[in-house]
Amino acid sequence: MNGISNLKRDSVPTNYLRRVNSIRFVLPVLLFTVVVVYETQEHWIKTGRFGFELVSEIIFFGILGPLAVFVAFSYVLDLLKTLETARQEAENLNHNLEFLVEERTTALETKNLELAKAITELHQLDKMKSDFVSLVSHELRAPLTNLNGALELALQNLDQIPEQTQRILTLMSQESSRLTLFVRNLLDMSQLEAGKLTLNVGPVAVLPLLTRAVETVLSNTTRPIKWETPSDLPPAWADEIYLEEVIRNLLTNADKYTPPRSALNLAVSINAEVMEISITDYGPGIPLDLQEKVFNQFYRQENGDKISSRGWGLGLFFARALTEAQSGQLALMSPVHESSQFPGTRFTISMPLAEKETDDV
Amino acid sequence: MTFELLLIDDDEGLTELLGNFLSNQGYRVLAANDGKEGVRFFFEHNPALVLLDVTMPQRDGWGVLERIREMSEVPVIMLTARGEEENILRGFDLGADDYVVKPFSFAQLAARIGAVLNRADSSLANLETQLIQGDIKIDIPSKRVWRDNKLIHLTPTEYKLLVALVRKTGEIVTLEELVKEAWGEKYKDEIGYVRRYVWHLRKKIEPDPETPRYIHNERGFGYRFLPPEVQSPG
Repeated sequence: MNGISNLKRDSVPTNYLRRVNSIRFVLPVLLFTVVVVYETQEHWIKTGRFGFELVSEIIFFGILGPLAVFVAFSYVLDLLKTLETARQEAENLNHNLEFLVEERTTALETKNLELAKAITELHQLDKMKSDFVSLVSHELRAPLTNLNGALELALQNLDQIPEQTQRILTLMSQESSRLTLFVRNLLDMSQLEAGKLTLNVGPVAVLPLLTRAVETVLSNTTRPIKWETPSDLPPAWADEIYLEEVIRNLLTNADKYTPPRSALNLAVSINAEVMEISITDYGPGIPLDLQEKVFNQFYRQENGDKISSRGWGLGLFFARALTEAQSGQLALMSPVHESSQFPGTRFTISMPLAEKETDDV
Repeated sequence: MTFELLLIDDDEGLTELLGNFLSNQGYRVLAANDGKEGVRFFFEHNPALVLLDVTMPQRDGWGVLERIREMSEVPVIMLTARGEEENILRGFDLGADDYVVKPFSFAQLAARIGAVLNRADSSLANLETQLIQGDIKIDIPSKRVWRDNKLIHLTPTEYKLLVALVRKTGEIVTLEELVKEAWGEKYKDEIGYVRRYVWHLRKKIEPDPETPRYIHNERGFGYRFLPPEVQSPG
């Protein structure tokens, strides 16, 4: 559309210039002719004399006058031509700009389409992954029930079993429990991602929950534990079961990735209507470039040769997802201490506080 | 007395292993591997309790449960898939007595069977399994609470507070007693804000928390649970 109207506009000034150019020649010739006819009539035919007066007037009015007109028109034409060139340049520039904009818009539209397609594909992939995880964990449940049940059955009469078999069965039972827990976490995870995990939120007393988690996870360790928990804490607003799971998860990590006898600090504080529960260890710390990566799904710490590291890398990803599902946050900080060998890591869970009671009737 | 249990599940591995486990616990176990066979066995043997899988070919657990409920009030424990809340609610609506979630532990299931059988057998009813006050019903083994036959989702702490209050229906329960019941003796000086917990419990239990029907504040003393019918008129 724009191209066509440009072409039309182009032709108008060119015609106009051509006309001015013709007038530049025609007008002096016309003037010369009129002057010659008039002067001949006035100074030759009327008087019958052909002399200086006639010649001088023809030179003055018939040649110099039209010459001046020619020069003036040439100058005007030149000006017009300069103007026209400038106009055309501007037009070209404008046209190029429009073309460029059009080109860029098309490119952008193509990119947008590609992006939309990529997003759809990503969503599909993500859904496929969730469906796969959900399917696998569903399919694992039945055999796991049977495996656990068979082991329970076998371990019912421990005293009748040879000692070595006992040890093997006990080990199998432990591994099977671990697998069961993992399948549960996977299922909870896929439910959480699908927005189907049912949370049961309410006011939570954090201290008993923290104590229970420590008793469960760290019952076999000799590491010193320092508590910094004020008494008379107001209740947090969370799901008791899942908050405890997050805390247990962090404690398990702290136990797994730090030297066996190093200390752990547990602290609870209230900052601006938010409860902060932090677990600080005296381990090797987490380098800055890994601090976000450790929250990725299936991320595994790679220095497994130094410190025992069993697990499936779902821990921190799940812990963060679970915390966020309860309107909380999970963050980490490292280094915490000045030691270069054991700078330590601090994980902090921030949870909202339970709403204050209004008039208690 | 030996109870006869009917186990209906299409997983033959499970019926064999669980059958063995429950036999060792002193039950007689009948196993069926599909819904149709399950219904047939039920009518032929009239078992004391049914363990029923939800997902089965031909006739699923719901169909079997409906068929059983047309004829009998026998206790039924559903074996369900994890995290499917709607299934659990549907099960209760259709008249299931309890449920366990796969993968479950056999010992845990045996404990549920014991509790459900105790509840069903009135001669053994001295073992507390249900608390009913007015339209509030608390089922102790499954830790579930209903008001006016509607399931109410309480947190474990809220459940303990409610049970502590309902057990002493009509009496004043002090804040210290509530702390002891909900969190244990060792936290008696650690837990503050008890009124805040009760306030949130009321929001879930009371139809109108501003004018409570059940949980009454006895200023300076504690709280008192009163079922609606014993309250003074007006």
